[in-house]
Amino acid sequence: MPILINLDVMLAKRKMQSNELADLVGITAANLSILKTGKAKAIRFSTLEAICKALDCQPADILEFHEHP
Amino acid sequence: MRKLTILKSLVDFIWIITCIPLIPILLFFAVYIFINDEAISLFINSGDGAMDFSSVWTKVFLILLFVLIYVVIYCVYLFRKTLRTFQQRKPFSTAVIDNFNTIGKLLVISGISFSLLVFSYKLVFKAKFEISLGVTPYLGIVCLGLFFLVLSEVFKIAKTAKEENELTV
Repeated sequence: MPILINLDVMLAKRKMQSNELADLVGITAANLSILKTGKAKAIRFSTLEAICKALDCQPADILEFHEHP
Repeated sequence: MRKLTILKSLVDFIWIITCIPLIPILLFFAVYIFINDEAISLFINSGDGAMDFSSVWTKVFLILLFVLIYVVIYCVYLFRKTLRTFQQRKPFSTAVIDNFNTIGKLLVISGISFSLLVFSYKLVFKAKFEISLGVTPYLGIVCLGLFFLVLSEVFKIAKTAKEENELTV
């Protein structure tokens, strides 16, 4: 998929653990792992909003478009 | 899920009462018609009695008929297997899609083959050129086969939708 998820980078910048973010967002660690590894087919606006709120960032900081990944 | 239980029981009943005994019986007659020509009269009604039972073509025709019956029996077996998967609450598994696809293809092939066989039987053995344009059982088998093929496609779409739903975070 040409959409890349930079959640790892943002987590490292904020010095936050995946489990902590999962708790803050209200999703399971397994679902967050699906998102981080790029296996997710879609993301709900509510989840994106919660992630942005928890990491204090913009959607563009997490999502990136690459035509040839 | 009571409807599924009823359907499974009915298919099991058909399988035990009809399909299982038919397998050895047809196998026996497939060999026996080459030993005793009179056995052919059990399957083919010659009517005026002018039919030649010793002809190789009669035997070939019967063997082809047996093969087609075996194909239909295999379809019943696959359908039973699919119903078992439904009972295990795995309706969107690859096995279900593959089974429906195989059943559909086999039923379409056997429906067309049955009609061609009956057409050639009437042409060769009864010297009658007959084409039935109405609702025939063979047309029903072809329609059933196409229905299973469509069902297979629908299940494939549903499986993709389910996977996408599961991978939505």
